[in-house]
Amino acid sequence: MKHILVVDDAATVRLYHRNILESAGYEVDEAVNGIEAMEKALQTPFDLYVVDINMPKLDGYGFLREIRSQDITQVPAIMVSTEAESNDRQRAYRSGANLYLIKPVKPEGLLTYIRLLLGVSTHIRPHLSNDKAIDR
Amino acid sequence: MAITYQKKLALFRDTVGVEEAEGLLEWFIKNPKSRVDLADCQHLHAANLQVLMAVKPVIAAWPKDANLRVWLESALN
Amino acid sequence: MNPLLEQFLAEARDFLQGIAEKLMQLENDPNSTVVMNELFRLVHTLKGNSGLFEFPEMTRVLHAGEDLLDAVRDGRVGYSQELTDRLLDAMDFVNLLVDEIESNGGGNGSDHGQNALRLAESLRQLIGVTAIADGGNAKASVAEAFQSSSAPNMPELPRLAELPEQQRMALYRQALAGDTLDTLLFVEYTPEDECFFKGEDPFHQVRQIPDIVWQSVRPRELWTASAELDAYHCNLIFDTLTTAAPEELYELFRYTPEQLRIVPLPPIVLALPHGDPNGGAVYGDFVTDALRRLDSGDMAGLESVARTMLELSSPDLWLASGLRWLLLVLELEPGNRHAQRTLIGSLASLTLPVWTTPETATAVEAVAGPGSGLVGEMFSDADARAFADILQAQREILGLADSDAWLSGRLNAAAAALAACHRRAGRIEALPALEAALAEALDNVEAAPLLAWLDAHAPLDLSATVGPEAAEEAEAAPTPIRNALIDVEPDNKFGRRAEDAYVGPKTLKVDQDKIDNLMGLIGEMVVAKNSLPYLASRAETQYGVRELGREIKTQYAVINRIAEEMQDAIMQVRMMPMSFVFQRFPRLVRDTSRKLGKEVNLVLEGENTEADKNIVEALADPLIHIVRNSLDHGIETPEVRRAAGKPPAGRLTIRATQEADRVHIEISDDGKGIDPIIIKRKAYEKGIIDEVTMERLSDQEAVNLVFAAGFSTAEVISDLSGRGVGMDVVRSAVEKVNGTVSLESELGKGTLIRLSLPLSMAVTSVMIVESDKQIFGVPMDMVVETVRVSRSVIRTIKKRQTTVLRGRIVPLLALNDLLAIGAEPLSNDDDELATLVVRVHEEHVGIVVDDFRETVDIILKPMAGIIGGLGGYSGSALLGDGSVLMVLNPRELV
Repeated sequence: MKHILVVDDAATVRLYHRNILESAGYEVDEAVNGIEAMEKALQTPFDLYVVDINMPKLDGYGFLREIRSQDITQVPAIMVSTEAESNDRQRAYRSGANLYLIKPVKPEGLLTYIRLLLGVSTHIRPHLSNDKAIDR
Repeated sequence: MAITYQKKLALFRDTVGVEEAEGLLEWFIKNPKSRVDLADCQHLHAANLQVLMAVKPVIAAWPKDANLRVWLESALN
Repeated sequence: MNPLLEQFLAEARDFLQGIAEKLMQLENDPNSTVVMNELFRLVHTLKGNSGLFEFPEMTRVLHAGEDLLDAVRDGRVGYSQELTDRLLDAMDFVNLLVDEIESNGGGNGSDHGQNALRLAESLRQLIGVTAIADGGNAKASVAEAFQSSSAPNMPELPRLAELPEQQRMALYRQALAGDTLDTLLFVEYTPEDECFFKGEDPFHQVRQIPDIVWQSVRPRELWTASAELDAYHCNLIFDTLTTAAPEELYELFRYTPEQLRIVPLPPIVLALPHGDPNGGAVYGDFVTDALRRLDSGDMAGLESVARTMLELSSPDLWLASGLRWLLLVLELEPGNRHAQRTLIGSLASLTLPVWTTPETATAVEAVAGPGSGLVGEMFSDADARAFADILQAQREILGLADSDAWLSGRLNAAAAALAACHRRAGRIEALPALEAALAEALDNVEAAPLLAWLDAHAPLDLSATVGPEAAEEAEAAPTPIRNALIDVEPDNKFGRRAEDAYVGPKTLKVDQDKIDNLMGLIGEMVVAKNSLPYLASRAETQYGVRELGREIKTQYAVINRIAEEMQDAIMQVRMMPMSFVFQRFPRLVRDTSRKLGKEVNLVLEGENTEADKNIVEALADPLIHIVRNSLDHGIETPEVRRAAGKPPAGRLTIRATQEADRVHIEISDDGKGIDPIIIKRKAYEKGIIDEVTMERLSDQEAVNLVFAAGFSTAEVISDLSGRGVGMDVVRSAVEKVNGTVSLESELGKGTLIRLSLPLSMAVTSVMIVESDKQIFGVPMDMVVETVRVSRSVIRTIKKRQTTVLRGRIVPLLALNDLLAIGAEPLSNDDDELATLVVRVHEEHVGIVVDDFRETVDIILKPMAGIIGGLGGYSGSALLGDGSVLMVLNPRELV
């Protein structure tokens, strides 16, 4: 199961994202700021990060810069922001985000992006095609 | 009922909800070349709008509501 | 109520509290960037949270607050008290909304729209003139965001010509007068097919778009015959042209932004000549002449010939209309040669000008890719759009300067993202080249090789290569990829295996009733275990089995320990920090002191001290009372304080500490204190004390008179130069939860009030005493000591029996007398009387009983019904042997 870390200081937003992600079968972990996210990221090999910008202690930019500096480079990161921050997109990309989305993120939209960024394909799920082969 | 069906005239009144659309379409199928009176209509659900757009009936009266009228004229003319 | 909403409400309250605190802090230290940033973050996050729900009023006000704070943070707006006031008002409003949502279970009740507008307006006013420029920025950036998520494409707007020319010209003028060229937005709204089943009315939605200047509705696919039409399959596309701000559109369509395409239009698109095309050829010379003048830069000449031609033409002609536009463009956009040339060309051809600008032209090409041939069959439109977005994002990332220290990390990440989405798209043949490009990029420490790969494999080129070959590939694969993708979903969804650990939330929300129930049960258990010692002694004395008695006692010790730990654990659940009460004070002190024209520094200490929920809640009102008194009557105005040689700002300290099983709260101020002489006189006038007492009372005793019932009246409030307003109320409220209150005051220096409360009130420790063969309980927290007083040392002073204990004269009262039991106290063999010394209102009183017994933990049940009015008792309790114990209330008794 793919494991996603949601980093946001707002519990409501964390729950919102957890609901979306769990409904699609992802395993979700949460962190309330960049520091905690950093600690978790170093312990657990997550498959993707969903990161808020504005957080106490260490913000989303800082967190991304840290992981991109510390060899956690293969894990895609989606930065979510409110519209007021949309001009911060560049900063997000510079820090190491792979995608910049505006809150509130629509569930289907988010899941579509995540599926793409996780690169799920038939190649890593060979058992899927077996059934179909029998059907034929 | 927000739509009153007369012999060859459908009278729209107030707000016409989504549930009316199917009946409206059936009525048009049974009564081709009918007309529509929208004078007292405040709003109609998009489903009704698309029925009107597809069927293209003669508009006997446009809505008194200016905003709705502008929209319907651009959709139905 | 759904859990997300519950979470939101709980968090919203925390945030509102935090916002209020930060505002207070900011007031004391307006230059603190730390506080400012924190404040901004709170408002910003709360706004973000509210955006997850349909609470437009809340979002609107918070958004305005956020903008205002952002302006303050950037130094565009200075800090002012006015600012704090308005923000506090706004947060009060948000609080109100939260309350309403909570009580309505989700629905945002009545119409607060007006208030929201007013509050938002009052906040935005403070941003002032600079706000307009800022608004422009925000607009631009939002428009940008829209563009990035939905690639811009110049819409076809032939029907725009239906708008009266005058109106279009006015709009054109208006648009060019604005700050940006983006004030005109083309909005294309394509509701999803199934939207009617989701209760949506796209027509209603689109009618909410403000400032529409043009609109049209068209079918997505050509209408089928009526008989085949599905009325409930939405086949509509709405096009509008609006001057609304992009934020408004974003707000309106925030649930379905992907169904919206917003394209900021250059105002020139409004320039569409119309009219009677007859007579065009006659003016052929004019076109040549006009173009020649345009090319040579003879703008004055061009204008002049156009004007002459216009005068010669009938105003209804196409030509005249085109000339009017040409003149207007020459006036307002003299530098826009492209537009002028296009207009002249349109005069020659008598066709509508096609307005494409260089940027939009490229945009059109760019967008042609993703939706169409790129990944063909296997991708839904949404997938294709997302794929294009991700590619676009990586392109932007790779286009950034190569200077950052973590560049290699960023390149790796971008390459990983590209690889992932290509894998997902089934384009694995592009991956080896990607790996090579990444290696090269890392070696050279630059993004260029990856960009080159992206250019080579970008949608444009890809769409060219996805030809028959790719189609063949899909054909040859054992499963069409589309099916595979569909199957991934259920597999993911239900694929959670038993061994996959479930990571649940760490905090549980439990209904208070359940905790109370648990509390009741453990209380009963504590009492029930008390029956074991009885059983042990019966085993010994009645049945003569000493061995069994001892074993029961051992078991009792174990059960006792577990019960106590359990009780402790449950207590812990009920514990709440004092901050629950303290948090109201900054606001209360601020508002009250400003109303009174006083300056007060509030110091809160020990906010994390915890006590039982009931205790903390019971404290709220008395504390507010005390603080109000202190502000009203204790702390002086700045002038008075200065005259008295004190700092102009008064100091009010509220400190909570825990000591053993009690919580102490001290409220002290450095105000004018209480004048014992005035108190004495007032008390005498009110008939509370007689003349003799007045003479005899010490200052401390006099000051304590403020607690006397009936001391506080309106008259007292008005002229009493101290405090004493409703202090009897405070005392009784505190005593109700077994607390005590005391007061010290020094004239001119200040006043200190001490509250002492039990940590918990569920289980009470009582000492059992015996009198006239009956047993009674006395709360242990009132018992100072138990002594046996020899009859010989009892003195009768003024008909009252007293004795001297530890250098203190202690009055002795017989319990039998207090309870009107007609029996003399029994003494023991040494002629000593069992005396229970209790503390009543800071005085020690000896209560003479027949004998002392053990102490037990009981659950005190208040007296109810007919005996509820009985004075002298604080309640009753069930004992381990099943008997009922009446618990005395010495305060009322003596």
